[in-house]
Amino acid sequence: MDQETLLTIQGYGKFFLILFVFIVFYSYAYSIYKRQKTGERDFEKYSNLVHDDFLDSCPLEKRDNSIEKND
Amino acid sequence: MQSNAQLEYDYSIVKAFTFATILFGIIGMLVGVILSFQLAFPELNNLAGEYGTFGRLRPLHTNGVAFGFTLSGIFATWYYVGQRTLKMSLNESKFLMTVAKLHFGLYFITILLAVVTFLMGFTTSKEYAELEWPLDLLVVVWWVLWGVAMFGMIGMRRERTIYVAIWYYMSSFLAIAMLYLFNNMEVPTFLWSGDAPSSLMHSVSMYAGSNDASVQWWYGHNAVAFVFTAPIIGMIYYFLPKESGQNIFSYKLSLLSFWGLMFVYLWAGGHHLLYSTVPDWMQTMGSTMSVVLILPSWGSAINMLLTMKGEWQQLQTSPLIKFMILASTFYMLSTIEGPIQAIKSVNAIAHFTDWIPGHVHDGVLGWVGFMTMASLFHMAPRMFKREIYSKSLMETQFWLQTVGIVFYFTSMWIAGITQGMMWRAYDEYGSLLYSFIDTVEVLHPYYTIRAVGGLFYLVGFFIFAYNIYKTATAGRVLDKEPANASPMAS
Repeated sequence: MDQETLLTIQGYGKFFLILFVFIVFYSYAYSIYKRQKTGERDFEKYSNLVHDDFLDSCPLEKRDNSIEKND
Repeated sequence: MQSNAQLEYDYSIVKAFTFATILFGIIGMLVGVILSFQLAFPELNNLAGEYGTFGRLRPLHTNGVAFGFTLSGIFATWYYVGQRTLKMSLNESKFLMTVAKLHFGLYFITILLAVVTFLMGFTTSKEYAELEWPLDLLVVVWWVLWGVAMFGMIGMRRERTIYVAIWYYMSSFLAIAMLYLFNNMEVPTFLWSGDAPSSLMHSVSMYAGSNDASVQWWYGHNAVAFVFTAPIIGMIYYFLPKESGQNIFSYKLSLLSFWGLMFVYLWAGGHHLLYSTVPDWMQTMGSTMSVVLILPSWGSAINMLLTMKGEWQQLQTSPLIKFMILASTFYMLSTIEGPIQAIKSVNAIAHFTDWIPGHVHDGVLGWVGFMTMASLFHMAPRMFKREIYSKSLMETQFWLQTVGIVFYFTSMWIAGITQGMMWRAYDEYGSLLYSFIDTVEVLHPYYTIRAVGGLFYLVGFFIFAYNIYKTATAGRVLDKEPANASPMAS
């Protein structure tokens, strides 16, 4: 493969990689804002993980029995 | 309520790393101040023979503050924030406790050995990766131990959701593991030297020429990303809401800026190699990605500032909030300055000048240093169960260090741009107007201002160390843990 072909492949590779990541990233952004808006999942409540961080306080979401259906 | 009401968080490892943060902070910053005075007054190079020269001391400074001071702060806060947001105690697992102790012990020995070997002149000469191969192997061992402790703690958690701060610590662990291994691929020369004399401590990089440079700056810039940025963001996402009693302005924005940062940062290292022999597309990519980096960086920084919405009066009353807000402000400043410097046409002036250390230091002194010290201040009353010894000392330290930082970066802005312009100046015949020594003479006053700024910061750090020491030994004993604002004696 000559140098020019290699550079062309690199260029297209980079472009499509960025495009792919762009789509994934904005889909993720859309998804979390939509889930928040429809009430499917409240992301903002996770701030409480900081405020209520004592060892003897109840977990915000327990690991064993509260796997929410929205996941 | 859980059945583990009698359990408590274990802060022994946190205390050990806090001690290391202060010790290595003093060593690293003291050496930094000596170096800055050497640059202004070169005769100071000769005070301690070969051991006091700029070349010996420079890696001691950079490694001391990055891998001594900052990493200790990261580890101290990890074992604190990790236990608390995952709602598990190290007391619950003898195995993890042993791993954490080993992590601290080996880490501490490595950094002490680093001090000794740098002073003796052993270095690979790769910036921020100067440790020679035996020490690199040690680093790998305690890095893996940190990973075992981290994922062990995550595995034992009671909370289902892993708080965003923990994501940042995890990213730091994973990224540095990858970067460190690839950049430190080195061959000890004694293995292949035959009868030729070769030091047991010497090695050469497995890569050559431009390849070596590319890997080096892929590592070098991401050392900034995953030592000086990601875990520090993790710290502020815990300590600012906790200290202020405020919710994060937008938890969703914190997730988006996390993924943005993770993707973009890894591509930006090429900006260290603009106008060099690496391929042009790589330079353009480094430049472009650096500019894109403004988005996730400012996403985090704005999120932090807006967390204080409606509660700005705390900035007047609490020096701890002051440290954290100024830290995020400096984060904004350095993450707009960095991309500007990475633009090719700006870089043509900025590259190799003092504007670069100026940029680095408004990040590390303002963002990393302030945030690390603020975190330690927040943890102290909880770890030692005592009130912070002196609010007025905190105020004094804050203003002294802030003035120090301003001296530092303003002098380096002027010095750097002066330098860049003088190097490029030519007359009508195309001959250069200035020789190198002309620039050195012009820069002398700025080097002196920088050194004085650094000295201010160092004095502030001694005040910090004294305040923490007195908090641990003589602060008023607290009968219960403070929920938010840290109690401090005036």
